Amino acid sequence: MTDDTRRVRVWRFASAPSEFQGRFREGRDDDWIVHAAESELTFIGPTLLGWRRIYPVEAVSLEDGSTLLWGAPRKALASIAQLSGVAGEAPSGVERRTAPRLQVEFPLQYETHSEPRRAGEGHTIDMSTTGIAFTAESLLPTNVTVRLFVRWPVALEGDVAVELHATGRVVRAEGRKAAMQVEETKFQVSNS
Amino acid sequence: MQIGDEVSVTEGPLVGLPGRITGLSEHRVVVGVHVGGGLANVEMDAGWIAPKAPIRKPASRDEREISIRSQQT
Repeated sequence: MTDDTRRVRVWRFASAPSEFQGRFREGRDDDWIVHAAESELTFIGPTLLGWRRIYPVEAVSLEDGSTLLWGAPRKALASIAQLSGVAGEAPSGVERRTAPRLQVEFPLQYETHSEPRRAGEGHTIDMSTTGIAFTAESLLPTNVTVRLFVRWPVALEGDVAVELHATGRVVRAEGRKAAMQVEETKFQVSNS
Repeated sequence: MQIGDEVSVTEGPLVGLPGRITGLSEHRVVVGVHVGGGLANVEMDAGWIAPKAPIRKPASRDEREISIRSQQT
């Protein structure tokens, strides 16, 4: 391994040293933490802080001159709501979803991961941290694993497009509408 | 994977950046990435990198139509 003083270290929040976790009370398992020496921050800082366009990122200077950064991608939807001034709807009494959902129409591509395989294009109907309703080109079978590639409406600096990749299970489908229960999400820099 | 391999970062705040492995341990890797006009050695979870390759996405409608047309001819 290389010299510690020049290294940048990145962790999932849950795997970061506890003394670093303790600096960010709002941190959750799937967030990230970066520790960067002063000399490295010059290069890497703008890239890390650039995610502030998409979700909250905070930086804390440590006594030795190094910096800790914390990012919370799970708050991206709340950031969109804040930017657009759209309030999330609380689920109704008979609604199985528990997280507030946001009615947003973001273009997406989808593919199912089990037979019969389906792939196509559509758009989101509403989103929450636990579920996404979306349109599809045909009726999707329920209980199959589906992956969505959602074009995020906010780009990184330099107009670099960002996608949310969400994987989960189709829990409801009717006509050209489907709803997935989200199991995993991550942001990717778009390659299109 | 081994030192010298070209990889892409697939998770975390450096997602999408290409780099080269400069260090390895059991569960962590150090990846040299060119970022912000400099080279930074970034230690991260070994599961956050993949051999350098474009991210596979579902074929677009146009690509699928081309594929169908080529099968018909």
